[in-house]
This record gives sequence, structure tokens and C-alpha cells, in this order.
Amino acid sequence: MACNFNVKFGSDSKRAIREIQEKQDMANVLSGFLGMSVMLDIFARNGVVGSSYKVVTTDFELLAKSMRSSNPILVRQVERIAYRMATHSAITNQERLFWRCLYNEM
Amino acid sequence: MKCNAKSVFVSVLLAVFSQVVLANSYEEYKVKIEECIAVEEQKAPLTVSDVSALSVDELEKYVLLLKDIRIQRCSAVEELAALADEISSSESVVSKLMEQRYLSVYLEAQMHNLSAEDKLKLTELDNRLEKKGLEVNMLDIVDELKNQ
Repeated sequence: MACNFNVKFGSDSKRAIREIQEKQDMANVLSGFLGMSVMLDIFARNGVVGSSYKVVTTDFELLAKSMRSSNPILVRQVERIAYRMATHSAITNQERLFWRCLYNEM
Repeated sequence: MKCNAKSVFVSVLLAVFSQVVLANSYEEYKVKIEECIAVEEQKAPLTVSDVSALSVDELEKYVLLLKDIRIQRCSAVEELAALADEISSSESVVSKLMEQRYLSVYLEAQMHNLSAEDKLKLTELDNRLEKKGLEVNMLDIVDELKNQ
């Protein structure tokens, strides 16, 4: 499944992204693992807040890889958030595609 | 003076050793989780007919939870060893942090949100889907459920 598209995040998606970032931050505190900047790169480099955001397949692949090397529990929790968002009715089709791409990589 | 240097050296050595033990036991836990996922994947995969009576929300509420419960059960020994090492080497334990690293702690928080009726339904599903592998793409199942 190709995951190259532009997406503008609504408030629900932004909340879910913050939830993932918080989980990652907490996981990193204990693991001492600092290689999670991929997540920050993906969601922050173009500014998630308000702007249209370009994502590519490799973003999701890198994210999944970095999460797996951190801890598998986090992967499962993020997968669950992605599932919840992909089945959420009040988001745009592009947002749904974004969450589906994330879910598929977890 | 020489005695002090020796005791400092021993303390440092012990500290390093405890960190190595902690890292190793958590690595073993991670490996075990992968093994448990592989075991699930060898079972006949869950299909839409197995969960046709459930709504999309119920699929998340019960089946996704059950998926993690199975992995937790399968990796319980390694998880306990890693958790014990982590607790014994930490000055304080923050449960929110532990939720991100240990399935048992995460699941305990999830189970708090379930009613007695929910737990009964979860047990019923657990028994009914025992031979089914839950490590499948649930979004594909959701698509099929919606098309039914």
C-alpha cells in the first residue's frame, strides 16, 4: 500500500499524535534510548499544527523500525491508537489513510 | 585511602553489573514477545466470520485487548524477571512509565475500564477464539465487517 500523500490533521488526529509522542517520551525515560527522533521528525518537521503535511512510505517504515528497536509494548500501543483513529468516523479520508498506513507498519 | 578506592571500584562494578542484568532481562523479554507473536501467527488466522457478531468498537474493546492478553500470558515468566530487575535497580517506580514497557502493567490499566459484563464477554471470546491467531490485520477485518 503506497503511503505518499498530503494530509492536514484535525483536532482528533493531533490529539492521537500527542498521545503517541507522550508514550514514546515515557518509554524513552526508562530505556535510555535516544533514537526516537524519527517520530519527532515525521510529525514535527513540517509542523503538525494546522499545516498540510506531506508524508511518504519511508516515514512509516522508519517509525516502525525505531519503535521496534525501542520496545515492543510501545508498538502494540501505537498500533491500537492507529486502529482507533483509522476507524474513527469524524476524520477526513486523508487522515484515515494516514492512520491506516501507520497501523499497517506496526 | 587504598581501601576507599577499592570500595568505590567495587560499587561502580556492582552498578554496571546491575545495569547489564537489567538490560539483558528486558532484551530477553523482548525476544520472548517476538516468539509469542510467532506462535500466534502459526494458528489459523482470525476471520470476519469469527467476529461477525461484534461491532467495530467491540472489536477494539475485546479482540485487540485479547490479542495483548495472549502475548502477556505467553511472556509472563520473562516479563516478571525483567520487571523484578527493573524495580530492584530503581529508586522509585512510576506506574505510568512501566505501562509503556510491560504488557501486564498496560493491561491492568486497560482492564480497569471494563465492567463485570465486559470481562465476562472477554472471557467468553477468549475461550471461543482460543485456536485462532489474533495477530492479523484488524483493519482488513473491519472492512469486511462493514461490507457484510
